[in-house]
Amino acid sequence: MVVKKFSRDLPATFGLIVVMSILTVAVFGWWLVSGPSDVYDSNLLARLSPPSAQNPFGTDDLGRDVYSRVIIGARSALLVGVGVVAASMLIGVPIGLYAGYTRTIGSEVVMRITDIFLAVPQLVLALAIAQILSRGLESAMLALALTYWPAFARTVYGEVRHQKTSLYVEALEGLGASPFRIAVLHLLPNVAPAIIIRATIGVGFAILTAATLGFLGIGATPPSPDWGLAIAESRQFLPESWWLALFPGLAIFITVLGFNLLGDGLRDILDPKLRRSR
Amino acid sequence: MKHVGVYRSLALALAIAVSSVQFANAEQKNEMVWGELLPETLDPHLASHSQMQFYMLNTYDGLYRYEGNPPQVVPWLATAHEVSQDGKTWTFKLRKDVQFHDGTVLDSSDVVYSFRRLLAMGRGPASAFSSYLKPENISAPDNETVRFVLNERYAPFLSALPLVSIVNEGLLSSHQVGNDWGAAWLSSNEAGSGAYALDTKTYRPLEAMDVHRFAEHFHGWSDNPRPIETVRVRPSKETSTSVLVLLKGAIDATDSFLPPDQVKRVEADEGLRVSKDESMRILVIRMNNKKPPFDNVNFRKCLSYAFNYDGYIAAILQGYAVRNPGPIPQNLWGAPKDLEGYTFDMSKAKEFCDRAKAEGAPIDRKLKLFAPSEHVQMAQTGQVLQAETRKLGLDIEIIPATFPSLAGSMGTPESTPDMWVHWVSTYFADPENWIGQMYDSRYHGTWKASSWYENAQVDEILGKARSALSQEDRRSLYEEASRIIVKDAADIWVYNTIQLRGINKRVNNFHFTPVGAGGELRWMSLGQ
Amino acid sequence: MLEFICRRILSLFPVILGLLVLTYALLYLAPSDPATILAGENASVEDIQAVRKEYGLDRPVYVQFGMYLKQVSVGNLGVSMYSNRPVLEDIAQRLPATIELALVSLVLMAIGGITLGTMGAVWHNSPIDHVTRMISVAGLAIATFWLAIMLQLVFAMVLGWFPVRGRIPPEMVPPVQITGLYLLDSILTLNFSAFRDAVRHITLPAITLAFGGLATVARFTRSSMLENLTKEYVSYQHATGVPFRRIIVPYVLRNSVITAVTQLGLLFGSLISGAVVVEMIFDWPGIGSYLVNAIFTSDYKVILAVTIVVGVIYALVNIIVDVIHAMIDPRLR
Repeated sequence: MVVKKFSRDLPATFGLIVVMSILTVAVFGWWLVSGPSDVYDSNLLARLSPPSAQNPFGTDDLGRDVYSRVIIGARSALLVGVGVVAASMLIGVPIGLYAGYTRTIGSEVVMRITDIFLAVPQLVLALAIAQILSRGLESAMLALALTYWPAFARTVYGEVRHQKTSLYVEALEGLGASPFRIAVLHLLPNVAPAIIIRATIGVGFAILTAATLGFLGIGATPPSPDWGLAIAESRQFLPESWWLALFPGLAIFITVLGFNLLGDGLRDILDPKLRRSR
Repeated sequence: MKHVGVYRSLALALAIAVSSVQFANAEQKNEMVWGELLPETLDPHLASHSQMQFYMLNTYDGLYRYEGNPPQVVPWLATAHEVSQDGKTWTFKLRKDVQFHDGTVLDSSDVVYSFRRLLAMGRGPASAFSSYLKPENISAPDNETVRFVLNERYAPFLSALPLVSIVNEGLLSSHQVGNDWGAAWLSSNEAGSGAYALDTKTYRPLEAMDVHRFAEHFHGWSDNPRPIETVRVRPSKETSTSVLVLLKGAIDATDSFLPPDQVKRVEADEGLRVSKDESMRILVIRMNNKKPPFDNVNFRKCLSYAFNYDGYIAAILQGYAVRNPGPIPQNLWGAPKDLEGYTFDMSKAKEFCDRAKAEGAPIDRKLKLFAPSEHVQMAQTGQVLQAETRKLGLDIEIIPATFPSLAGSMGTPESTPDMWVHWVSTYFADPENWIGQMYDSRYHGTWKASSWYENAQVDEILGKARSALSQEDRRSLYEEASRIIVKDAADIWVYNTIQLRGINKRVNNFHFTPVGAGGELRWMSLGQ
Repeated sequence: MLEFICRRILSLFPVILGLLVLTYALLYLAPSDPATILAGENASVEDIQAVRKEYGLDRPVYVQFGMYLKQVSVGNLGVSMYSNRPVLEDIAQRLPATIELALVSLVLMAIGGITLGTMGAVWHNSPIDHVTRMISVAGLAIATFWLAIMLQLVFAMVLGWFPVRGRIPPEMVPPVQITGLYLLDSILTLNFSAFRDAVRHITLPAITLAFGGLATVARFTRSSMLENLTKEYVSYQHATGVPFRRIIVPYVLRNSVITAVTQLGLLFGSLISGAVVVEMIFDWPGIGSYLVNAIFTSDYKVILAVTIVVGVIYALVNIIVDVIHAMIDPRLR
């Protein structure tokens, strides 16, 4: 039933296909390129050559094959997306559950802290955090996770607040179930759909923001074939070497698009209250 | 009553509007648009980097000035100087005919004030003097004489003098707040006597600066009959955009960091040319000599042989750099002419790495190379080393970081990274600016001495060179020190820069000098 | 109503204080040491130590923070360590550029988003709907910095229709400053050539910045219109013979637009994030590029000040949106 409904939703199906393909590329990427030397070794004589049969996406300023680098870049992009979302969930979901279910000073304080995090655009805060950590993908991920968890906390908080007034929670409380038990065994499964939707869209969003950090020079480090970094490096070779900017950017676009479409589709199925178009 | 005010301000607005329209329409004036980067502040005593040099050279004057390439120190506000027998007391005679932009006459008290202000602020250019000059030892015996008594003999003193702009004491005192030496005001105003004067009304920090010719400049204008009246400085952060603006004819020159890949494109345009000048700015890959495996001289030699110097210069820099085998720019005195240095030789590299390994150096660990992210060249340099050393089984990771955060981590050998890449530019054209401050252990803890090289013999030679007064003696001392340091492979010295600047052909008399990268506007004129 | 506004404004203070603590803590943890740069290229270790002392960088962190709070409480955001200029002055000079860019983007967002959303709803499930939906989905998936570079590449570098950078041509003197918004100032001073130039310069950055938000506005317009279209009064009117397009404009569109406009407040955050990269790529002299510059040079006071200013503006915009919301829907008060 669910599968049927999903498969009728063309954009969502397209999203699923894209996400599956990206996953495949990320896992089996090395089979699609001729070897690490194409990705990492410089070949100064062949630098900045336009797309050709041999190098379908051209070569970069060190003579490395852009196609190979875009393919291998998928892995770190996905890793960032999934890693950031997982870490944000790990922080945000328990906090949201706690703050939503109990009504103590602690929950009030926690929610005010999320207010502080949400008071500045995420990118600005992540930029500041990434700047103080040592450079590298891990730091960028940490910076993103540290600034993205309030989104999960808020989602869970809202849902739990909503559910708390339901009859079944009151019934459980009446039966003497412990708050922990109610929260984890009964509330959590009920807010799971909201978390899954947020997470799917969050992966795309995290990839986008991580690429922006990479572009600003505080994410992935050379010679990593990071997409954002590649675009940053391409700028000084524009407009002649346009392929340096075009292909990594398309890769980001398609990946994020896939996750967004999938997230939309999931929302339709998992959350019938909301209309598909939102 | 109220209405009158409104009408008056309306009329005023209209008048301003009309005048600004006229201003914009009065084309084909003797005006130039210059694409140089602007300094963060306009206070010439706060910084001495290239952006500041550009500003200083045009709006201020110093006692001496660098002209030509290779740069010579020529008398500017000073006419002559005397040095006492012990080499500590320096007496300067000043010109009498110098006017500041506000019309007041520049005399010795302005000079004393400027040096004291510089030392009191303790920033940027002050560091070239603070170790041997105390404010109370600067005096003015009369209106046109200034006397400096140094704590110790310091030969490069004269070479460092062009770093100091002489500011207008009266003007600054009138804008002093608390005891700030007029710093708040001077950060966006100007108090100089230079050939061009700042237009404060149109100045926008880091964005736009206009300067107008100062007709009463002491040097006179007889050697430039058709000087440029107004220069509008409009920086572009990204080079690819500034090239485009140059091609469109909207600016007359880019900054001096034109990427080699853009040279052909600029030269393809009939009306443009590229000025290619060998500067004194060396690129160095620093190695932390105190951290294993870099404490092993054979390992350092291995890396020195594993860098593809010629390939890098020929392919990536398109030949626009000169191989510089040692720590002094090869076009400056003190650099040994016969210095061989290291060449790209993978079999030798392997040999030395094997030797280092046999001696127990941990060469298999991950080596971190930091590259300042302000210039793409830094990471490129690292990647060239990385690509070759991969074949030796070495694992180098390149980490971009901003220059301030990097420079801030050089306080101890432990916090200093394994390797990092940077330029050492000309702040003053004396070997002391390079070898002296890079390899004398008394500078340990500063970013310039970040290889933590320690050699008592070198310390002694450099100390002697600092205090010897004859240039011939100093030359041989610096040559000797260079040879020792190169033999020890303290760092990897890559090249001396050829600075590239795209210029519209209508700009005549562009003279390059390593200090200020040729941005001295007073010599230029516009013609077809 | 007044009480509601006051309450919202009062609730701002703890948030801003928290933001200050957070930012300050982050800066304190930062490994970079501005003193080494400030001391100059020929500095000795003693010189660096002297600068550290001068700026209080050697004091315990709570003392530094206390000193800073005292300053901020009297409205003094300090001076930039690099330029010695008051940070507030720099921000005041650069803010109009960002505001102008944000306003033009908001207008583009609203016009584009509402048009697309309306088209999608009216021709529900037709090819037009699919196309508009594709556009709005793409808008959320495209990286702002990449879009900026692509637009710059195609329309400025290759086709040459628009300038690559800046707010006005390099050779031009900025129009007389009245509001600081060049588009407005050039009209007020009847300087039409400056106006034309300003429009040409703002086009690409504003389109880039508007793209992401446009998608969101389109989605909200479309869905709320679809909701409204199924309401009884619409079917009723339609049944009584009123032509469909006469219903759409006065009733349905108005209701839907109100919903969509309240979303604009939420979009403000993404607008600021976008401005950071857009300003950098197009050399737009606003506070976004100012902040990036400060972060890269570790100019503490500037980073703190811009964070506070952005936080306050962000909060104020949300309060305004809430107030509008509350005026429309009194239940929310």
